[in-house]
Amino acid sequence: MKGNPVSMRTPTRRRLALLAASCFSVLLVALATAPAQALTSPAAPDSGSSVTVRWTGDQGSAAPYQPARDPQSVHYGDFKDLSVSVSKTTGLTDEVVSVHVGGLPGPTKRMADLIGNPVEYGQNFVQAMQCWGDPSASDFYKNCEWGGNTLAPSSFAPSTAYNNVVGRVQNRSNTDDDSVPFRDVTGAEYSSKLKLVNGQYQLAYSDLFGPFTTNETFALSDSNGSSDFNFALQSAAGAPYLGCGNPDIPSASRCWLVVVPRGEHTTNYTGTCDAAMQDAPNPDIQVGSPVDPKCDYWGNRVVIPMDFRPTSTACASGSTEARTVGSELVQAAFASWQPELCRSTGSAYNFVSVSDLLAREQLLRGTAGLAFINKPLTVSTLATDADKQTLASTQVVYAPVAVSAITVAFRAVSNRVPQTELKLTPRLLAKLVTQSYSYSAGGWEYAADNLGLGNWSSFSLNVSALTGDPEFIQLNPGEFKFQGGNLIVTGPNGSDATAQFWKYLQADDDAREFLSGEPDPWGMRINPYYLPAGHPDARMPEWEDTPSGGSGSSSGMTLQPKRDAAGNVIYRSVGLKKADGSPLCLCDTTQDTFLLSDETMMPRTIYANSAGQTRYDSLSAWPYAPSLNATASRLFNNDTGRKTSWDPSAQNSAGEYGAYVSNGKSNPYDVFLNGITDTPSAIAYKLPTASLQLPNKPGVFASADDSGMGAALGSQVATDVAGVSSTDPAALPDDAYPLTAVTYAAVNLTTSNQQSREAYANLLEYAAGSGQVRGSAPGELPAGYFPLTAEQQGQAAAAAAEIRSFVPPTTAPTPSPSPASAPAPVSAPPVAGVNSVPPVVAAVVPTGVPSVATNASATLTSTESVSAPVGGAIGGALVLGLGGAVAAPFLLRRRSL
Amino acid sequence: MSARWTRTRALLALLGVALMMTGGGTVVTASRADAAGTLHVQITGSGSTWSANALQQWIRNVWSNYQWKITYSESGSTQGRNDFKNGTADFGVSEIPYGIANSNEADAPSNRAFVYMPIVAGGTAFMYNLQIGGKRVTNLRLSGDTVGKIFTGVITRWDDPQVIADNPSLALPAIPIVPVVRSDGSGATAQFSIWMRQEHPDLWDAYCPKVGRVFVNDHCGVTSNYPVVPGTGFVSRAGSNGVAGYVAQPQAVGAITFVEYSYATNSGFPVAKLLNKSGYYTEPTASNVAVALLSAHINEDTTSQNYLTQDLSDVYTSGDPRTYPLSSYSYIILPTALENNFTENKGLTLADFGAYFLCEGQQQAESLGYSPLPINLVQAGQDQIRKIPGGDPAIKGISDCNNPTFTPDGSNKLANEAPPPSECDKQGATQCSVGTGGAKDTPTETSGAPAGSNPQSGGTQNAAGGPAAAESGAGGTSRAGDGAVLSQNAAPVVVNAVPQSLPTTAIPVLPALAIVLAGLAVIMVAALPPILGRRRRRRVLPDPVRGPPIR
Repeated sequence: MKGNPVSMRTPTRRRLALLAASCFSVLLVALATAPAQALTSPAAPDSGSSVTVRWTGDQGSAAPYQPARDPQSVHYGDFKDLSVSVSKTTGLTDEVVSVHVGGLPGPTKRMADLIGNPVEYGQNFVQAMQCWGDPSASDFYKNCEWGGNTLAPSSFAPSTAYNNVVGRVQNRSNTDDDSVPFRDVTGAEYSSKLKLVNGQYQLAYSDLFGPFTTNETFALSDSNGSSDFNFALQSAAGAPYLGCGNPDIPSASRCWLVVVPRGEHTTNYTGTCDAAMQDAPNPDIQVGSPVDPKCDYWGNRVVIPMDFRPTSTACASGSTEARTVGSELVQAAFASWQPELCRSTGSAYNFVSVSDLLAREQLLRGTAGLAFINKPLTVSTLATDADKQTLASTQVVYAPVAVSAITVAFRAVSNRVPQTELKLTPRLLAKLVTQSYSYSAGGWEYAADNLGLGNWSSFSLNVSALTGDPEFIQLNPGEFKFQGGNLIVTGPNGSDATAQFWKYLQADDDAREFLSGEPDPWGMRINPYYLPAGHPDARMPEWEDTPSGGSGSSSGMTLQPKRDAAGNVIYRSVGLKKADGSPLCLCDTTQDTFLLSDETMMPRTIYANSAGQTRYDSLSAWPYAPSLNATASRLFNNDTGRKTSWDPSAQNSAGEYGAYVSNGKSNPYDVFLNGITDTPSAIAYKLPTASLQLPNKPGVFASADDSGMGAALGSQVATDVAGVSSTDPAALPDDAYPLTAVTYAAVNLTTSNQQSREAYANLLEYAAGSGQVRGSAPGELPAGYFPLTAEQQGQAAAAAAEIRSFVPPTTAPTPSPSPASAPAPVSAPPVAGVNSVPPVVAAVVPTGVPSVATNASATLTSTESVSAPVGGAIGGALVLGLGGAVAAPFLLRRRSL
Repeated sequence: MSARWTRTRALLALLGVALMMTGGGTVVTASRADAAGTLHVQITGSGSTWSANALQQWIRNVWSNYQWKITYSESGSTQGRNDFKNGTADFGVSEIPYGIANSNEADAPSNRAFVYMPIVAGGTAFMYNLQIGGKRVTNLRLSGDTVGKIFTGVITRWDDPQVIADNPSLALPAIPIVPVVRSDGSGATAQFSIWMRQEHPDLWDAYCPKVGRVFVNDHCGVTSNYPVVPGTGFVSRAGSNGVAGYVAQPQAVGAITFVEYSYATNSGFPVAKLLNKSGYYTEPTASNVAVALLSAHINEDTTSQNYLTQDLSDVYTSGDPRTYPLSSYSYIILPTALENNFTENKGLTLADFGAYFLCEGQQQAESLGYSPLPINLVQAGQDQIRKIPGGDPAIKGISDCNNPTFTPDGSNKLANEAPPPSECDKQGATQCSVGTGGAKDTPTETSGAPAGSNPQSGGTQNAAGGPAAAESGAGGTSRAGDGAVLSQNAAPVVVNAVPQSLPTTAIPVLPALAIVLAGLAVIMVAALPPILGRRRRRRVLPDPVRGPPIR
C-alpha cells in the first residue's frame, strides 16, 4: 500500500517534468509580466476601503460570509487568533492589493515526507484565491480560481511535495470521482482530472487559466506567525470566467478573496487528502488541496468581499488611433487615460515608448507628431546641421502633462521579515551604479587571494556589498540580507530620466569626488573600469590562465595577473571615453544611459570536472532590464535575470553540451535587491522605495512621495525653452525629491495637419483637466504621479488651444513636398516668439506625417472610389437586368394579347 | 430531361451561388463554420526577440484601449516554435518557419494545426562600437563580403584592407574586431545564416569545418544557433537586448553584432551601411527595408504548410539602389484548431490582436525601428486570421485597414517615396559623414585613409572592384542551390511579392443586395423548373394508394 501511490506518481511526475522543461521559459516571463496588469490602474495607496476580518468573533461587515467556527475542531486552536487584512476592497479592477495575515501558530515549517524529501510547505502557510458567486453555497469552492499551477514546471516548485498542495485535488488521485471541478460564471464546470492528450497532460480548466495566467497565491509565515503578500486581482476583462465587474451580470460586481490558512493540525487521513506521507514523522503535515471538500482545510477559509468597478471597453475595436511616442515616464498615466480618451473624444490613442533622444529626433523629422519628453528640443541636443536647421524652421508647442519621479525601489526581506525603510546617499548610489562593491563585479573570487595589486580597490579593499558599507549601516539600522543590495538598471536604451539621475549624483560633493576617483572616508574607491580614461588608477592587470594546482577534480585553470620577467604585474589601461575620444568622467558628464562596464571574467577558476566551461562577465551577471517597468517586475519577482548557472547538460550555441542558464528567482524570504524604476511602476508592484539624501545636505532625506514631488515642483528652474522647466538637484528645499521629473508633450505644429492637431489638442485638454484627478479608475491619474499645479494645467490648456487654433501659413505649396520622413526645411515658419511675420511654408503636410490616419483614410477613400463604381456598376446592371427579366413576361404577354 | 439540360442547370445554379457569395459576403459579413468566441480570454505567446520591441508595445496599447490581455515571452524564435509545438504558448513568433530547408537542426513542424502570418518587417542591422583616434565612428560601411568574413573569423582586424576599401575616408584603427553573436536559438541568426549560405557560400562553407558542423546538401547549413570557434574572440550573448547591450558598453570598442535596427536606434549606437547590388551602401531604414522586400517571394501556395513564408533570395540581390539587402519579416504562428487548450474565446482575442497589428499596429512600426508590412502581406494575413477558430475581428478586409503603406494603386507608399541614396553612399572614393542608426546626430569627420601602406587610390579601386567581384563570383559559381530556402514542400507556387492586388473595397449594400438577388434568381431559373415540374407531375397524376390510414 505504501509503494503504490509512490510508483503511480513517479511517471506522472516525470512527464510533468518534461512538460515543465518546455514551458519553463514561458513561465518565467509570464510570471514576470503577470502583475503588469496592475499597471493599468494601480491601487491608490490610501483607498479607505481596507478591511480586516477576524477568524473568530468577527463583528465587521464581512462577518456573514465567514463559515461557522467549531471550538471543538482540531483547527480551532491554530486559528482562533487569526485575522486577515486587505488593503483595498472597493472600486477594484486589475490591480494589486496587499494582504496581511496575522495570528498563525508560528513560522512555516519545513518537513520531510515519506521518502525523506523536504516539504517546504509542511505547516503554517496561507493560500489565497479569487472566487465568484454566493459564498454561502455548499459548493462555493468550485467557483475559485485555484489549481492553475498544477501543470507548472517543477522547477517552480520549492519542494517535491509541491504538487500535493497546488492542485484542485492531489495529482495522484486522478479519477472522475475525485474531480474538484472549476465552475465558471456561466455555470459550466471544468473537471480537474488530468488527461493525457498526445503525450501532454492537460486539464479541462486549463482552457481558462494556467500557470501563466492564474493569480492564486502561496505565502509563508514568519516567526511571528504573520504573512504579508500581494495579490493581483483579475477583472472580467482578463478573466471573464470569474466575471468580476462584468456589467452584464449584476451580481458579478462583487467577487471574493478567499484565504485558506494551513496550520499545525489536520484530520485528513483518507482519500484525496491522505498524505502519501501519513507515515512520515509528523502526521499533521498539511497535505491536500485547499479547495477539495474532502479535506478539512476549506472550512477554515476567510472570505473577503471584493467590489469591482464595471469593466468596459471604451474604444471600438478597429478604431483609427492617434499616435504618440516618447518617455516611459508617461506610460502608466497614458494607459489610464487611453480608455477615457476614447469615451470623451471618440478617438483612440496609442503610445510607443522610445528613448527621449529618439523621440525628439522623430518629432523633428515628422516621424512622430507628439513626443513625451523631459528635455526640450534645443540646438544643444541636436548635432547635425540639418537637424539644427530643421529646428529653426519648426514650430513646437510644449505642454506639461505628468509629474512623476525616478526612484530606487527595493525588495528587502531578511529571515522573512520585510524591510520597508531604506535611506541612500548620492555616494552610495554612485558606488552601486559603478559596480564598485566587489560582489557586483565578481570581485569575491579575486578578493580571496591577496593579489598584491596595490591601489586597485574593488578586489581587496572595497567592501563586498552595500550591506557591508559603514555608511549604509549607519543610515539603515534595519536588518538586511547579508551580502545583498545589488542594483538593477535599465539599458542599453537611454532616457532623459537617466540623465537626471547622473545630474543628481554630480550635484553632491561626496559622490562627485568618489566618481572622480577619490576614496571615501573608509578607503573605498570606484571600480577602475568607471574612471575616466587616462586616470592613473584606470588600469587593470592583464590576466592569463594558469594551472591552479591541486589534483583531480580540484585542479583547474585560474586567471592570474600577467607578470613581466621582473615579476611586476603587467597592466592595461581601462576607463571611459566620450564619443569624441576625450576622457569621460562620470563626475561631470551627464549622460542618458547606465553603464555595465566591468569586464571581470568569472568564474576565476575553471575546474577540471567542468572542462569546457567558459567564463562570463558582469553583463551576464547583472543584465540590463529593458524598461523601468521591467525593473519593477524583476524586483517583484525576485528575479535579476541573471544567467550564470553552469549547466553541463544544456547545449550552447555551437551545439556542444554545457551552457549558462538562468539562475531562477531569489529566495523571496531572504533577499535584498534594488532597482531604478519610476514611481508609478514601484507602486503598481507594491514595492517600497528609498528616500534619498539631498546633495550636500547630510542627514536631509526626501522621498518620492507627494511631499517630495510637490516640493520639487515648487522649485523648478527654467530651461533654454520658454515654458519648459526642470528639477535642479543642486537647488532644492530640504523636503524636495531630487529625481522629480515633469514630462512634457511636445507637438510639432509645422508638420501637423488638421486632424492631428484636433486629436492632440483633445489629448492635452484631457491631460490638463480630468487626467489630473487622482484615482485608480480609468481616466484618472494613477498613484505615483503628482498632479500638475494649477499653473501647469493652465499652461497645458493654453498649449491645447494654441494647437487647435493653429493655422498653417497659406502660401503656394512648394511644387513637390518632400516625402516621408524629412519635413521640408525649405522655408522658415516662425519659431514661437522669434519671427513676427509668418514666412512661407509648404501648406501641404509631408505625406509621411504620423497623425490620425489622414494618409490612410485618404488612401482608402480613393481605393473605394476605384472599386465602388465597379461593384456599383455590376449591381446596378443586375438590378436593371432583374427588373427586365421580371417585366419581360408581362411585356411579352401584353404584346401577344 | 436529358443530361445536357441538367448540366446547364447545374452551371446556372453555380453561377447563382457565386453571385450570391460575392454580394452576400459584404452583407452577411464573413460566414464562418465555427462559432465566434464570446469572451476575450487572456492569451500567451512566446518567441522572437527581434520582433519583441514592436509586439510589447502593441500588447500594452490593446490592453489599454480594447482590454485584450496578452502576455508575450521574449524567449527567442527557437523557443517560441517549441513552446507553440508543446502547447505551452497560444501563439509563437519566429523569424523562420519550422524545419527550414538546409538546416543543421531538427525542427519538426508542430503537430498542432497552424498557419503562418507575417507580423512586421525590419532590417537585421550591424550595430557596432568603433572609435578612430578615440572618436566614435558613425558612418561605417561594409560590403556583404566583408561582413561575411568578419562573422566567419576571416577578417579579424578593423584595419584590414578590405574594410578600408569599404571606407575610403576612415583611417581605421589597428584593433581586433569583436563579433558578437546570439547564444540562444535565434531567428536573427537563422536569417543571417540563410543569407551567408546563399550569398557567401564560399565563406560559410569554409566556416563549417572550423566549428565542427557537417554540410547539409553540399553546403554549410542554415542554423539558429550561431557556432563560434573557441578562442577566436567571438562573444555570445542571449537575446537581442543582450547583444545590443554588449556592443553599447563604452569599453566594447571594436565590437559588432547583428540585431534588429530598433535596438541600435534606442541605445544611440550607429549601424553599418551595407553594400547592395547597385553599389550603394544603405541603412536599414523603414523605407529601404520596404524597397528591399518588394523583391521578396512569398509562398502563395495556399495548400502549402509554408504558405506566406518568405524566400529572400532576390531581396539579397535586389537591383534597386535604395535596397537594404538584409531585410526580412517575422511570422506569428497561429493555431487553427481547438486543441492544446486553445478555445474559441482565446481565438477571439488572438484574431482581434492580429487584425490590430496588421493595420493600426503597422502605423507604429517606423517609430519603433521596423518597417510596416505592405498591402499584399496584410491582405494575405487577414485571410490567415479567418482561420483562427473563434475569431471575429472588427477589421475584416483591406478597406478597414489603416496601414501606412497603402496607396490607391496597391503599390507600397513607403517604397514609392523612399529617398534615393546619397551619391556619397556610392561605392567609391567618397563616403558620407552623416551618422547612422541611433547616432544620426553625430557625424564622423573624414579621417582619411592611412598613407603609405594603403594608398587611397588603391583602396578605392579595390573597393570598386573587390567586394563586388567577390559577390558576383559567389553568385555565379555556387549559389548553394538555395533558390528557395523554404523548399520543403514540393514545388510551392512562388510569386513575386510586388503588390499587385486589386482594390477589394466592400461593395455598397444596394448593389450587393442586387447581386444576391440576381444570384437567387439564376438559381431559381436553374432549379425551379425540375422541382415544379416534378410537383406538378405528381399532382397531375392520380394517386393510387391514397385513402384512409390503415390504422
